[in-house]
Amino acid sequence: MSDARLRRVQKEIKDCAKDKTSQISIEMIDESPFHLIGAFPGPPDTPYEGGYYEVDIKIPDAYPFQPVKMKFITKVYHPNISSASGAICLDILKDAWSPVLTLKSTLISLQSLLCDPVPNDPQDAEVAKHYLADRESFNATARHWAQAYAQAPTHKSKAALGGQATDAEMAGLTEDNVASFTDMGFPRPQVIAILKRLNYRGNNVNPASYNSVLEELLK
Amino acid sequence: MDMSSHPLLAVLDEPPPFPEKYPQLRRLDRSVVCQICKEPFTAPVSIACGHSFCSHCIRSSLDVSKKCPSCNENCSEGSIRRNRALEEITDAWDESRPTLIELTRHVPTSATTRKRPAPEPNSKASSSSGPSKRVKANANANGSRSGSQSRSASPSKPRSKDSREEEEVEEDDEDEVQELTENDEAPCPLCQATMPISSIPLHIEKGCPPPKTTKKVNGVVGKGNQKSDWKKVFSGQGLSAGKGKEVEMKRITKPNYALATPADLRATLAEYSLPTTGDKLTLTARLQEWIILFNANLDTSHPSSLSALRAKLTEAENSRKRDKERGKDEMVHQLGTKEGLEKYAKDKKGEFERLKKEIMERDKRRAGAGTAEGSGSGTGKENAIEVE
Repeated sequence: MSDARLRRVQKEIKDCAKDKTSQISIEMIDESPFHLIGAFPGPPDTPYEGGYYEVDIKIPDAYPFQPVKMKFITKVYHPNISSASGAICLDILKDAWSPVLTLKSTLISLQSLLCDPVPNDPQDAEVAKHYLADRESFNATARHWAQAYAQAPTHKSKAALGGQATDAEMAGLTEDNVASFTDMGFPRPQVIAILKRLNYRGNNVNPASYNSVLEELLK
Repeated sequence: MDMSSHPLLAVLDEPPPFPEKYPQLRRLDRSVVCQICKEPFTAPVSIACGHSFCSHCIRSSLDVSKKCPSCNENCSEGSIRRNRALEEITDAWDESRPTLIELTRHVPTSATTRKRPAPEPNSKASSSSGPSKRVKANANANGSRSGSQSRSASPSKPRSKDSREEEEVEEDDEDEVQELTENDEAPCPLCQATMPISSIPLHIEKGCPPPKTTKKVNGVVGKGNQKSDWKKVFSGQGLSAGKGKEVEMKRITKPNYALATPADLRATLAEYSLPTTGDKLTLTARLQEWIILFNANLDTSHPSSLSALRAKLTEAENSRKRDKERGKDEMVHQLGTKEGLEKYAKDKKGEFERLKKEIMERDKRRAGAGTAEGSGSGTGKENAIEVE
């Protein structure tokens, strides 16, 4: 019943506003209580720490018997979140949804998804490849994205990276690798796109070889 | 933005919560809440895995997915059983909640009196004395119930302590009442007529005739019923017509919506005096909702009347329609204001220009066709464009 849906959503918004400990906020965009924006801080001890993530929430007509529709507004570098659209691959937003779940508990699940990526069931295949191939470099890129898009403070310990991340770092690549191809005269955006797609992690490192990159570039 | 001040949220009439220093009361408060609608249980039922929900909630949920919402265990509607104890607890809790809230409010004053040493050891002694504590609490609870002014007059520490016990005792009392009803007279859940509990099912089956007839159901009056039944048959009404008037309070079996024709659905809806308008989708949705409402209504000891259920169904249908047309309404409303109209004009300027151009061109062409009268194919084309 639709009235029950309205009551429940009102209740959930109110509960979230009352709860100060969870740090999760839900706000209305306009007069409709069925289109909301949820927000939560990036979980500590992850590359997303210090960032502030906003999520677009749409409540379907059959809520709570149908899952809420959520996607990230803030750009996130994460295997289960599309880096382009913010679409989320999470079971409880699909077939594992249960009517006992609430907006708050779902947002908490998203927060914990940031803690524990599931690269075997990826939404963004390139990010997942990066995550599996080189965890450290993945973490660095995720941190760059958090700083660039989620207002995470720049880490002082990583002063070597400088204040502003380069386009290579934002794509999860090292400057050296990009330079080795741009020096040959290939345009930089193309090099970055192909290296990202092929998940290039340096010469003689699996999974993409130097030659396969050259082949792609010469196409 | 302060969300609690939003007009949409202000309408929510929630009972006041317990203060934070009573986590046990808050827990109790949460435990009588259905996990689906997040409201206190109405017509609570249990399913195979032992989880309990409102009858309406779990029936709606099982229509979508045949799993327990809490533990994900497979579950079918057949395993739904009334949970009478939980209903009793919810009712009792609902009744005692305002009193408890009242009591917790008085505690701040008792907190100041707590500093006085005298009442403190007293209460300690009473609580440590094992079985006698229960008796004392009982006496106090009874006392407070008979004279409510004594409660507000002396809001001291031992009283607040007893308040918690009172609640416990009250639940015990309710259990006793339930035991009594098991072999005593009870009001019929539908018509409130008092009769022996064993005869209630039969009474309901008969469609709630006045209690006199149910008491002598095997006797002379039974014959009388037969007589009137025959009369109905002869007068052309038929037995089923009589039944249709007084709907049988039996669970409705779900039809196979994929196979049912709109006529079947309409017939079932008519049986329950429901509107039979709309296409098959609307009919199916209406019947589905009705079956949920109707069957859930059989899971409570305070059932609503059928007319109330029908009103609920129409309300749900209307609000769903409203949701669907909300966007339209907003747009119409927007066009009522000057700024909205200007914005709309700005947005649609391109389209407006295109239409204007089209019409001007058409007029031009028509003028051209007017001069070259007689060319049949030309006018045919013109007509086609006009129809467009």
